[in-house]
Amino acid sequence: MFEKSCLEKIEDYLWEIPKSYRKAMKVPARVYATEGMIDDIVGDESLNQLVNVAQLPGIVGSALAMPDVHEGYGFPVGGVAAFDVNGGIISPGGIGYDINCGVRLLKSNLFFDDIKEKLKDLANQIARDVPSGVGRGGRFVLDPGEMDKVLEWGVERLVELGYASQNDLDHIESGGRLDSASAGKVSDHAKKRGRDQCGTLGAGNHFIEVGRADEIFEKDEASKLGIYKDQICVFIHTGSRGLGHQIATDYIKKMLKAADKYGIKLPDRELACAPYFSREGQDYWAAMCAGANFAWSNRQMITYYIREAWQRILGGENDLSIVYDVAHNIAKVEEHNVNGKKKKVVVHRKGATRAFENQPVIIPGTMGTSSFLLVGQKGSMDKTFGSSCHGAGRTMSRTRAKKTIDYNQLRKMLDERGIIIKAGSKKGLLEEAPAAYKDVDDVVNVVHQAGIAKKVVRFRPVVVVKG
Amino acid sequence: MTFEILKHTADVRVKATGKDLGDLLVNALEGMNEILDPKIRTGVIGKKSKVEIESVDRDALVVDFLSEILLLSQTDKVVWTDVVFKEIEEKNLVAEMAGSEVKEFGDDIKAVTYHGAKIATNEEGRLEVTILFDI
Repeated sequence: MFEKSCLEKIEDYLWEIPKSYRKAMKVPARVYATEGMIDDIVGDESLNQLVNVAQLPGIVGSALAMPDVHEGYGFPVGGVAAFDVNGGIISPGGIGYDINCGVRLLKSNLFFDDIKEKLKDLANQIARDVPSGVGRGGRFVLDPGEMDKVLEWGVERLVELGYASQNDLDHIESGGRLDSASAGKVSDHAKKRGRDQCGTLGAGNHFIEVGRADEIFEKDEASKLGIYKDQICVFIHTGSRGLGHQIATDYIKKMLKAADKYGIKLPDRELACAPYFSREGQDYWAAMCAGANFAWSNRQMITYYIREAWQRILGGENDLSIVYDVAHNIAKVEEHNVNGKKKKVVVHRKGATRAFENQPVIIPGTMGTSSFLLVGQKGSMDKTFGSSCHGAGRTMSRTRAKKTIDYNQLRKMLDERGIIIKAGSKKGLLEEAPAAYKDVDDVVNVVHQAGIAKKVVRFRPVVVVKG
Repeated sequence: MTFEILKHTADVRVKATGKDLGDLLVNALEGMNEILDPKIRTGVIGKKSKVEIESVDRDALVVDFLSEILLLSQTDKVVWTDVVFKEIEEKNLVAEMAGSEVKEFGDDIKAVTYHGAKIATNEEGRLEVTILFDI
């Protein structure tokens, strides 16, 4: 809970908790939201967590929350924080356990009417070809040597192996590879946990969605990206699987010791951190980059399987090309304007999407509503360290969703909306029901109105495959 | 009560109690196993393993113990249940576990977090801790 009266509205859609709110705060905390959203946001721990982030060494600008914010552990989910590379920290908790969880958008050259009769077959084939579900391994098993290459070279290695093209690389954030990655900084435990998980979807809120471009808001921007009304596209939402989870687990434990060593007072242990330019900070940075490379490779292998499934059902030339692939759980070293000066900072995005000016921003909704393609605006560079929201944002606990949502009614609702669902379990479907999330339209409208990213295309799901 | 599952917007919290540190760890593990929802493979020989943990303090020891067992559960596909502590102190422990092979887990846990994991003594004089699992 947070006292709403401690928030000050400083612009339309922007609220501030001033630095004076707590002595230890180094910068203000800011949240992008409507008044209605604020009433919900103050109901959980999100803003207390954001206030904690604002106390970390070297933070610059303000600690930021996007409109889809909800409580996490340590950092809130939907949080953005930038730290000066000199004197600032890096914190594994500010990236999260699912390193480089993100979304990839593929476009086909087909339209809804071309394939509506084949959607069921397509759903079955994708569900068969892409391993999904709790702990499910896949057919692409990495021996130790190959694992190290994927960790260090990311999707570039998959080009060498024939699973990706140069054109694919050109449409992935950072070209699908962070070159600071070092496989030697990733534990054997983490490698073991991920050895058969490259090319697997996992469970929870991860999914593959075939969507139909249902509304074009910006015709010119959409056609620049090659997307037209009723065109069929595919969203892939997943991350670095068990490998990333283990990297985070290993390093948060190390950072607890490190924080003590460097005299950093932690308001919450999940904010465990070390100076970016310390040995511990650099080790984690190299391991996180390796985890990010694994995640891009994971989405690439899934793309490969979907392309196979696509061809098997629809025939013809392989016509699924990447619009963009963007992370929403990651740290990046970037240059931003801080108090009128260019500064190199470590931007932590935990449940926040990079949204540089003119960059495609992919925001998945829930399985029954809509997903969006936006394009980053100048406002994101001025106000949010080039970041936007990452989805609808949970509002109901998984337990409550299972207790209160009726399975048959949910299936009926999805049927009525013409959505074919392939879900690994009834439980998984209930936990991810649209009613468990905020309204994605409202969330996206806030970033649009605030000048962070503008709406270009809205998609309606026609097929959803979940673990 | 040995453990109960509490609400959290996106993740799952388990409150565990115990008469001493060892009992608390075992009950917290039971809570974690309930979230994992293992489908046990019948008719196979039980599995054994061992963990050695060193932590910064007693609170972290609970989290580090559960993290290590989670790793073994997921890599070996085993649910670990019978724990015998060979050594247990405030900051370290050695434990031997026995468990059953599973066909699959019904739910995934990404990680055990340190968030709010602080051991306290409750009104009944039992140790109590709440652990948040990222799922």
